[in-house]
Amino acid sequence: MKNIIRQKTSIHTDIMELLNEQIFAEQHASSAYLAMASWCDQNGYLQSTEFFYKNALEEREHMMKIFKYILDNGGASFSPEVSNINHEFESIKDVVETALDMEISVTQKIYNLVKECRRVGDIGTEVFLQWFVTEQLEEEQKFRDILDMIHLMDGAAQQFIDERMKNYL
Amino acid sequence: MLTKFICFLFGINLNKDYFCSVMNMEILHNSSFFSSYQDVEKELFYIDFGHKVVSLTFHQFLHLKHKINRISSPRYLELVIQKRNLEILTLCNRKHIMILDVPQILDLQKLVQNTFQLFETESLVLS
Repeated sequence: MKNIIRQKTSIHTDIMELLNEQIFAEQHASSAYLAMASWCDQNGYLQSTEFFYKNALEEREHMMKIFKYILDNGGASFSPEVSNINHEFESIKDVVETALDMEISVTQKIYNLVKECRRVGDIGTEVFLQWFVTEQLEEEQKFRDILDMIHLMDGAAQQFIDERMKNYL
Repeated sequence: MLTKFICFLFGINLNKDYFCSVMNMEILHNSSFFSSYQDVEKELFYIDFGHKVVSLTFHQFLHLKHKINRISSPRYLELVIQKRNLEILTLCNRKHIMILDVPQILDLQKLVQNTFQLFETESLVLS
């Protein structure tokens, strides 16, 4: 039997489905960072606003990378529908903690994708995802560093914490 | 050739073996309500919905997979059951409209999943 599907795409079709889920996760993260930027701006944390704008853009770039990878390899990408974005935070520390939780969740999804690629033998996609693995480790560490900084400056004016955020841009 | 034309024009549900021999198609999978076929020459997939046979390109088949996986998720099915117990499924850039109830949604999901699985398993065995 001739395998039409293999002739049309290099990506395993189950992996393609998971990559489309990852597109949603990256876009969700991008929208969540925009909401964080909005909260920071409304509460006077101007450096933090810039920091979250940059992160929103980075997440969108990650999303586009996966989107194009699927199309470049003969598959079908689906534009993600994003809803339920949280716009309410208690403090700047709460914002950063939420961001770290979100990054950990994205990392876990990438790990699951890599594991699935290995299980079904989609080596090409596994290699493509290596960049994301490294990137996620950096992202997580960035937010841990910010939380350490907030912890060290405990008791200081919130304005000083915001000033330090430009070191992470 | 004439049979082929009439079959498509009126969506006549022919005997599956006869259907395959007339249309140069290989049967891929049968579920309770539906069947999937491929035409290697034209590089097309076909789904026999009983009352209608729909031809799909590879990308249209991928779109169907994406849609059916979405509407067969437990959360979505719960909404379907609560509202009207029917779901409208558009295929091939809205060229076809299918109205499916919950058992048909689950059956179509199984058919699409198993059809793709057939090819992926073959790739794995060959590699």
